Amino acid sequence: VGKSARALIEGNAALLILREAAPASPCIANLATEFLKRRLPVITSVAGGPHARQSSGETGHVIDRPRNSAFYATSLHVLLRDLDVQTLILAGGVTSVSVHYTFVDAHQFDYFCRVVEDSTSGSSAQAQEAALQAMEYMQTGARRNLCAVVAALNDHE
Amino acid sequence: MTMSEPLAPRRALIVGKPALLVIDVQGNCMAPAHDPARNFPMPDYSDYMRRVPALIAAARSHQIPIVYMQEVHHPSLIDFGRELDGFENVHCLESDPDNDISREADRRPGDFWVRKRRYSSFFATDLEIILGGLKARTLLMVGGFTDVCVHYTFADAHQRGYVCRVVEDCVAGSTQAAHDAALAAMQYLQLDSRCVRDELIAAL
Repeated sequence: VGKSARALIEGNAALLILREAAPASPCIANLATEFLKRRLPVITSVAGGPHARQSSGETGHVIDRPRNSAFYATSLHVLLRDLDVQTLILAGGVTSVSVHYTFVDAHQFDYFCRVVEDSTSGSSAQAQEAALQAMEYMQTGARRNLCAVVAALNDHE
Repeated sequence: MTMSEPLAPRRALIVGKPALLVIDVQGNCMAPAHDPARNFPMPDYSDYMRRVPALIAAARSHQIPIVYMQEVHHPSLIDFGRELDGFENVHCLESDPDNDISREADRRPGDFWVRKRRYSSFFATDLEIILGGLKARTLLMVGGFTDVCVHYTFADAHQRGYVCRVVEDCVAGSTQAAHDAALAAMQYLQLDSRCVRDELIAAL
């Protein structure tokens, strides 16, 4: 009964990292490097206000996030349209709140959405799995791992 | 203090002015609809929906505004966005009278009726204008699916600062597990958000 998944990347891809005060993990920083070296957009959505934003040092676009979803009351959708992005790849945390609700908004704005399931964390094991299942319910093939994303970037070149 | 005690005193069930949000109570959802082949929606879905009309009647008798949300899609399918990329098939075509607000939900002239083409009741709809005009502060949510339209309406209402209440015996999900997980997720956003119908009717 299940549908087959679409390609991991449809059109142009961007990486969206969700984080709070702490910098993104080394694993996510490495993934960002993979995007940047191919001149693909990397956007970091930061909760916690200007202090949290300045304490990092990430390259790429940085957008404050006043609520759970990276789209709510932010310029993210405008930026993504300017960048001509169709596929949004999500990493960071926390999975069951910011990642989940950002995915929902991206889905409702018609983006192809993927979540890097081994690069998203912060929830209880139960809430993490429920959120990942909810994302897979919305888009078959939404759950992908780091290796698959890097392989898709290579194939897409 | 023991670990079983709540972290903060429970807030009143209704804070400020309430509005009842009846989410996607459409067609014959009061009749059994479980498809064993897809295991969808949750087996006793219609039992949950049949509890909704009594709450609507109670809200009406207390002059609480009722907002009926209706999911619609155009028969050309151009407005589905990414909705057919996942588990769901074509649904809620506006050309099919079987997708009207359920007769049992008793929508009357003077009630509010908002159509939506996405999961969240707030996404590109008139809802915020209506709630602003009503000066509603607490949103009482019933309908389905718990894990999709109800959960994502709740998350959007939460981000907009509303006090959110989900009536857990008047919402039903795509599966039992997804229903349970969504209720837990809503409780994570607002600790006091879960209530049951008869407790709510008593509080009206």
